[in-house]
Amino acid sequence: MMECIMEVVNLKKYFPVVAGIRQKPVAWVRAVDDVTFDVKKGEVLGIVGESGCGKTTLVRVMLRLLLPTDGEVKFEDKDVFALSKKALNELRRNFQIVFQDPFWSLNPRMIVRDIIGEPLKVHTDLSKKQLTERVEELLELVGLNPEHIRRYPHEFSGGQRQRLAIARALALNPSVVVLDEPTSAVDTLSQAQILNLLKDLQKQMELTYIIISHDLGVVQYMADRMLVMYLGKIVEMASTDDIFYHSKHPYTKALISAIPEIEPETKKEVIVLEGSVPSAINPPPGCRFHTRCPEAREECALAEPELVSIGNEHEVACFYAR
Amino acid sequence: MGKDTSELLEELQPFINNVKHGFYLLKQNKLTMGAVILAMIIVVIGIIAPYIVPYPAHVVGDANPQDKLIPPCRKYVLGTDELGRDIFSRIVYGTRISLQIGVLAVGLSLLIGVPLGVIAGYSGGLIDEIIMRITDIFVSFPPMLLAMAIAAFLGPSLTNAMIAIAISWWPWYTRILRSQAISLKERPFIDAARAIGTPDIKIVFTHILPNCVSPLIVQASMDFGSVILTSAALSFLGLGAQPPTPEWGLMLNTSRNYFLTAWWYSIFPGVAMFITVLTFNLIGDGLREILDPKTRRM
Amino acid sequence: MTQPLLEIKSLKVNFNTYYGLANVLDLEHIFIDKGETFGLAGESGSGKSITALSIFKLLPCPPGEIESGEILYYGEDLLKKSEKEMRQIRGKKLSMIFQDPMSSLNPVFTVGEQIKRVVMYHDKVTGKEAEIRALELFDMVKLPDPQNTMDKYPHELSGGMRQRVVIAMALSCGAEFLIADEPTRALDVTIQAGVLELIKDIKKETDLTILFIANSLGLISQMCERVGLLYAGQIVETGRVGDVFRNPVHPYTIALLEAVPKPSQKGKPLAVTGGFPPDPINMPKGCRFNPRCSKATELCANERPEMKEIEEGHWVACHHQGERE
Repeated sequence: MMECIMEVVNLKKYFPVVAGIRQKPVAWVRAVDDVTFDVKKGEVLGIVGESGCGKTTLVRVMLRLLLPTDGEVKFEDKDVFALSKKALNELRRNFQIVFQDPFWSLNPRMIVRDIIGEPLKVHTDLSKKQLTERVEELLELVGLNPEHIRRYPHEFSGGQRQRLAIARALALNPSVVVLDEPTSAVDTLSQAQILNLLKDLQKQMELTYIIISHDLGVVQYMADRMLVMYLGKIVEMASTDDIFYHSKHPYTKALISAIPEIEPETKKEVIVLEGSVPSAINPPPGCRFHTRCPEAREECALAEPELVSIGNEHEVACFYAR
Repeated sequence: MGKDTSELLEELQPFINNVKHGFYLLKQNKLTMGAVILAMIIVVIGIIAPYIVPYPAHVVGDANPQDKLIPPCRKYVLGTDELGRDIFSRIVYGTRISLQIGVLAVGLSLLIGVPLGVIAGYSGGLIDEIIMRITDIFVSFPPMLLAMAIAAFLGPSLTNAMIAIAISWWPWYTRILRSQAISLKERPFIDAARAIGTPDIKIVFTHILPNCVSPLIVQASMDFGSVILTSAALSFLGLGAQPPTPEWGLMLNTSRNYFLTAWWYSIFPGVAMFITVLTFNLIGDGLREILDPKTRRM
Repeated sequence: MTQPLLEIKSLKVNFNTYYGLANVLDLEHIFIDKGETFGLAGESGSGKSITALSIFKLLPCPPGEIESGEILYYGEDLLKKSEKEMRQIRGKKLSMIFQDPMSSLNPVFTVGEQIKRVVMYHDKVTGKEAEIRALELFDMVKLPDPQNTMDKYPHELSGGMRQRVVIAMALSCGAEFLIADEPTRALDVTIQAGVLELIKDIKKETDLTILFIANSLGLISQMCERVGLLYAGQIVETGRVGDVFRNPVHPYTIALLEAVPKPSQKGKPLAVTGGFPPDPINMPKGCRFNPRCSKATELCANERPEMKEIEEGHWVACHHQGERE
């Protein structure tokens, strides 16, 4: 039983929709609506879901880039939102993120040395020389040429920029790294390099990863456990194998069926969902997915299913999951 | 010693590369290139003016009444004014003055407007509201009127004119900076800096400001010309430069009385102003094309 | 042998940049038969979008320039046509849909208005007739409640719906050839499935010929009959999807297929090809893939390999084809 490094408990994040001169909230966008799960030390946890499901907001709240509307996030048993300034600094050292957009996640006007050196400048007091050396080490660690230390981000390819972002995230030897769509903007061959790099670094530095991706192939390869989100809620949570081969929630099943396979033989049955994702301001009553669910029944519009365990660390939020 | 210089050179390398790339892009737009060269000539003239004017005494105001209102001739290339002073010398020296006006007025506006804009944009909320309302107040005054009121209040002089212009001009920079800061705030690299734990002040200085420079340079270049025009207008109304300063606007003011008889007196200072303002406008325009990533050519 | 609908011969496209002349496209031969879906697969920077823009003569020139080559539409060279002639062809005979439907639609007009304009320009019909046609088209692309959707602005529709509108616009004047440049890149996986099903259905009904550009081999496999793999502006392998993906011959194709994470590889490192795509300004002499190729020899560094047919319909440009490990 792996120990738990982070806990998310009943987390809610609602964004106000304001109107009128007084800018009073007239409605709420329920981006993250009562989410509970843990992150185990040393694992790779995958979070999947389509646009609007809340996964991006979820990690931003976990990183304390946003404050929650309700609920708790605990990092090594400490409440993330109640930390003193000093302790918050500690948290930042330990919990880092690699963003999806390899161009805009690096300041286009800063050279590589300053970009990767920023965390070192903020948290340590290394001399200029020591900092440069450390940055060169990090560049080598991620497979880049240390001589390029004075270049600008736009002088690198997408895959290389993503490595720069990884180097920056690892500068302070964090324990947990969030990978927000780490290879979405990157080519297939570069992606393979980056995924291998991430796996190696995980072993080398004993990291825990939280990986978000819309590419289910990538998540299947990288993650040990996965959670599937829809409209602010977790609909299914299980080991990667269980999600891919024994999924129980109709949304998960549709998601898996939509993955385009290379193998030309497999002309599989694609489950096409009707309609589009409902608004997060006014989610459908009852089960949020029922408006598009191919297996929906009358009862689904009446009450919201809870996330229940069906054994083997597999949880599903559906009345009819069996 | 050698190691230090080579280290310094290494440090500056990225900057130098940027500048080189800038020149390459500049060369592609002949009009802007021309404007830049002309601007450099104007600046050089401004700097060496005291040394090249044929009649330095006329510049400071020594009258020469017997030569008054002589049309352009061998002795006085562009003619003389009502006090017999060489117009050519005064126009050349006026370049220096106009450039000073541009630099000081725009500089002062930037000094006030930029920090306010960045703070408003980045902070948002109440601070943003307060700063924007103050900006709104200043913006709703017609610039000329405000400048006139301030000049009238502080007394007419070139320095006061520059202050007046700066006070009426800064709100525009605040607005530009604010909108830049707001759009930059949403960028992932700002989130990344916050996730690293970088304090807000540092984020503003190292991340936001350097990325705001482009629209600022464009606006400032174009404003250079506008400021010169405004100061000329103030002098024209008697609220700016005072006689005997050889400022173009002032010369235009005095030349009004001799408009029909001494055409050279109003035309030449007017042409000088026209060329200078046009040059800086073209530069601003050209810079915008170069610096805007969308219109930027490879 | 019937004439192919589209044939590209010896097309060379360059770009003038600060750093020098970039040779971005060097296509020897591509052909697409009527009724076929041809997949153009490649990574970003390989020249896929440039191919599409060249066919449409929409390449920004300068800095782009078409050095040489022919693009034959039923035998007629499009590159020799005037802008006026091209305007008659674009939308009416050839059509294109892009990856970001938000940028393809004008944000200040309703979608109904936009599609009516296209119809009225090409088919010279009245507003009323155009409206009827627009409703028919919206029905064809399975937009829910077409009458109401007509009056919506692009930002009021979801990504999937916008892409359907774009598809409707592209097919509004009876175009028989559609270029789909990564049409589902900006869409979620489940929405993508719907849009692709739609394209397949339309193709069945109207015998549409499609050039499908993508960088996901899975998509190509599901949507296309034949495929051409583009690397650094050159086609390295082409043939029927089944043949190419089951028996890849070119080291690049093999590398691509191995780089895609598969369930069977869980826990093992992915077979990785090092290096980066070449700089278009300094393209390697000889085979452009040779700096990264494990099988590269001196011949590869000096001579550009020719396309050879290794089995019926399956062509490869590699000096070492047939030498399997």
